[in-house]
Amino acid sequence: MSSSSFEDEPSVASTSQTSDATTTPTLHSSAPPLPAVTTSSSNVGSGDAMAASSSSSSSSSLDSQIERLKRCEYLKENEVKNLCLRAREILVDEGNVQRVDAPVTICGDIHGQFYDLVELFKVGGECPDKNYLFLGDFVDRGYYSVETFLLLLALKVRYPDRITLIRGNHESRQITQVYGFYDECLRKYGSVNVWRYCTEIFDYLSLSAIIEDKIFTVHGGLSPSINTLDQIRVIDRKQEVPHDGAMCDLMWSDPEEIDGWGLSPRGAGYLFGGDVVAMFNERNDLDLIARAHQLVMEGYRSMFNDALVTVWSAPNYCYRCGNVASILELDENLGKSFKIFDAAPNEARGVPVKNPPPDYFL
Amino acid sequence: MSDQPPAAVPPKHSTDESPHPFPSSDAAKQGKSTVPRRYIYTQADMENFRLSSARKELLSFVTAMGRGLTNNGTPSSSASSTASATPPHNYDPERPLQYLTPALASLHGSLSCMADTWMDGNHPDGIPPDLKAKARFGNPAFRTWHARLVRRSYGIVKCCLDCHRLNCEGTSAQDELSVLAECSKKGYRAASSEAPHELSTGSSNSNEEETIEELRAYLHDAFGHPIRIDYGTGHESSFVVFLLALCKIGCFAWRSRQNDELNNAVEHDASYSGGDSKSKSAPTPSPPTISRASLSLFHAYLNVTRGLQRDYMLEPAGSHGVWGLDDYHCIPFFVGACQMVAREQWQQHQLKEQRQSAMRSVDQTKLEKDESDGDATPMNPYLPDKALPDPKTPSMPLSNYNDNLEHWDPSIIHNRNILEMHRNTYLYLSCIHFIQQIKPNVPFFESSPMLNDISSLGNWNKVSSGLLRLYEGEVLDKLPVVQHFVFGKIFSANWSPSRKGPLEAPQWTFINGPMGDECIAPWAYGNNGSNESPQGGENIHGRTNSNVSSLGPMPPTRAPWAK
Repeated sequence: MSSSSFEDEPSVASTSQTSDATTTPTLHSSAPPLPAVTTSSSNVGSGDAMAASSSSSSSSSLDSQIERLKRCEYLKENEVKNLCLRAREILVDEGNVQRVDAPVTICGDIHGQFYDLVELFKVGGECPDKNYLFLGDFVDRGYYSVETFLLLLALKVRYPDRITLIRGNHESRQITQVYGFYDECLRKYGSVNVWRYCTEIFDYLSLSAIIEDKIFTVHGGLSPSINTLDQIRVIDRKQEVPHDGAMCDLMWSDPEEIDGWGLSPRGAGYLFGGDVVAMFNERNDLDLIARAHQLVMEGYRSMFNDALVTVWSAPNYCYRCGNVASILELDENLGKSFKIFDAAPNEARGVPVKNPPPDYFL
Repeated sequence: MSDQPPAAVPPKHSTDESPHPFPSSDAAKQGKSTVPRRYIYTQADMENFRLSSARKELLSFVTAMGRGLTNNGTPSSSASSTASATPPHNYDPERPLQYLTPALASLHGSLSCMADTWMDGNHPDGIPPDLKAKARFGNPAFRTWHARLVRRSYGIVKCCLDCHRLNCEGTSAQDELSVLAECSKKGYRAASSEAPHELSTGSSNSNEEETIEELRAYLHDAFGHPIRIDYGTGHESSFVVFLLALCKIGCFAWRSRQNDELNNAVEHDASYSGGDSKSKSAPTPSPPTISRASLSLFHAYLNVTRGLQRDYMLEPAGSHGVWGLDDYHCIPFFVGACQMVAREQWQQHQLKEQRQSAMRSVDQTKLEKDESDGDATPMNPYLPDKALPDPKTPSMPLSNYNDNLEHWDPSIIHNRNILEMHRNTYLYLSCIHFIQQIKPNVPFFESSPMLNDISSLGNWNKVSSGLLRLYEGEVLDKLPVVQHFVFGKIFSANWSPSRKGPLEAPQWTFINGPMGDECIAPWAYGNNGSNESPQGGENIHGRTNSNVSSLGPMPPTRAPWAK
């Protein structure tokens, strides 16, 4: 079979950095799906037995990787590749509507704000002590998208039953080229391989989750193409986020104080009103929709008589919005409590690394 | 083989019928063919633009805005330098008008008025942000602000042209300064009222009306997009196009007594290779004239745009998050870096003077030339091979600015005292200071990694050259940015656009309420606020071509910001 980005390829962008951002994807636009797991997960032995042994023998190295990532050290390119391969084995088995047990802590957008994610774990408790559900938008905009996503992914691989990651609209090849994750990978690794490993994993992330059959969680919101959860379950999700259709809407839509549906100013997804939510919840026997996707200054916001809540977990978004962040804790009876937190203080953030100047300045 | 059910088209929402409260420049375009319009829709147009005289001219002008401050890598000869030594600041915050002309002083006054009174909620004429909408990026009060701009731009532009027409070169510098002060006041008044322009002599003919309409179009695009409530380098470029157009019709010079008509003087207009050079060209001003005027005007312009960005939380258009140069701007960094080069050159010059006086008999011809990697651009009409000394340059007492001219390399930006003390004079420091002001609780390297990395470059020449290349690469060469450029007669396109007319903005997609934060699908509007897909293959809502699943894991459409 032909290669995917998980096989070593030369750096394509070493000579021209940001200006090359636009041409790179086309070089790989014909890349086929990932190779079969067993052929690429190890270079020793073959078959399933080998795969099993390789994952058990590397859990200690995984622990050390998690420790490094918690110190905000990023992994080597090859480590990223192997981590992504192992993550794929886990994610591929998850449903489009992944089942999650309570108690669980729901978190919204992170956007590369690594030290604020550390703050989140301080406030909410460490994984795996606590069960976490992240609603996507791990990357873009912030400085530490690589570290943020890899830490969450490593936790997923290490504790697959204690953390659930679902996909946000920024977990996309196209969006990450506009909003920074692509540039970041290029700056930090000197090539786009890590970006390619990560964006291929994005395709495997689940689209939504359901907690105890009562609380539906999704990054953006509802879709006019979707009436029932079963309609979500049959989506073929292993693809780049489409420009429209059900899968796109789930990641892009926003609630709004309107009746019915409206066109979204974002240019993707829709606006949906309280009546839509009420109907969806009734039809699917749901109590609540929890979603992220929109900055709320106060960290969370309930709408439509508590039929929907927005959870936002990136404090001082883009380093300038001055908002607080929140996480939503659900106890075993699905009782809700929000925890509010601020951005990590200046002193708790990292120290600058000496980088070569961008290509324009050479 | 998508398993998605066919997308049911939701009913159009009923709150959208209300038309936009003011005519957009796009809408205005439909009325008169003379109003500037878009010429860049597709990659083919982009290629035409890339080779066009308009692009060349714009880049030349931007280059001159910065490089005119420096001596362009040619150290002034020791003989002439004493008399004509350029003061290192090239800008005096206490005398912002000193390098301007009547038209530009009027513009400066208008910009000052906008910064002073249009936003401030405490001012009777202020437009305070809508506090109910504070929860998101992009305060809808900006639409009110922009509507005012559209209403008052006629008076603002007319005042510039009238000030130009009515004031000839004076006999004394004192006279000239008082004329400039008067023009600035008139510009201020023009921006502060919607009354018909009081200066009008009634002599405005259809030619002038056409010019005003063209200039207005550039000005309307210079402060952000009223629907998207965003701001980016495209808007900044539109302000530069506005300045370029003023320059081309002669407003960067005093009208000489001999010439009654704007377009009489044709000394070296051959240097304008582009456009219809025969109709509107005026003599090319000297690079120091362009750059010092631009420096002053950019200080005034940034006072407006920063207020907009801060008070109305304009979304950074096409932002690469922290990985771009800045959320909003590029050109002030370039011009500011050139100002720092000039300062270093002046410092070198002073050192040289001292050494010369210390050892007059020693042969000085082998003094090391200042390191420079500046790409000299001999083809640039705004940059003669050697910058001429400007006879009008008054000397500036340095002691007033606490600047003892110690050596500052680019890492000086990490010195907060210096930033605080000198930001009003040095544009680059002002830009850095503003970032730190709006992002106070984060290390600078985290909020602005590129500026941080640049700060370790050894000298300002490298910084300024890199910034100019970055402007080309990230602004002029990016379809999502330049697709919004409009072209008229003064700043003209010499190709036929691939589409006949502009598509109308989808105003009906805007349902009441604050919009604008969050990221917007790049395939929907381009990056900078239009509704048009840069690919040209999709309809205006970007809602076709959606069958991605059958085309493999990579998106079938190239990113809209692709070259």
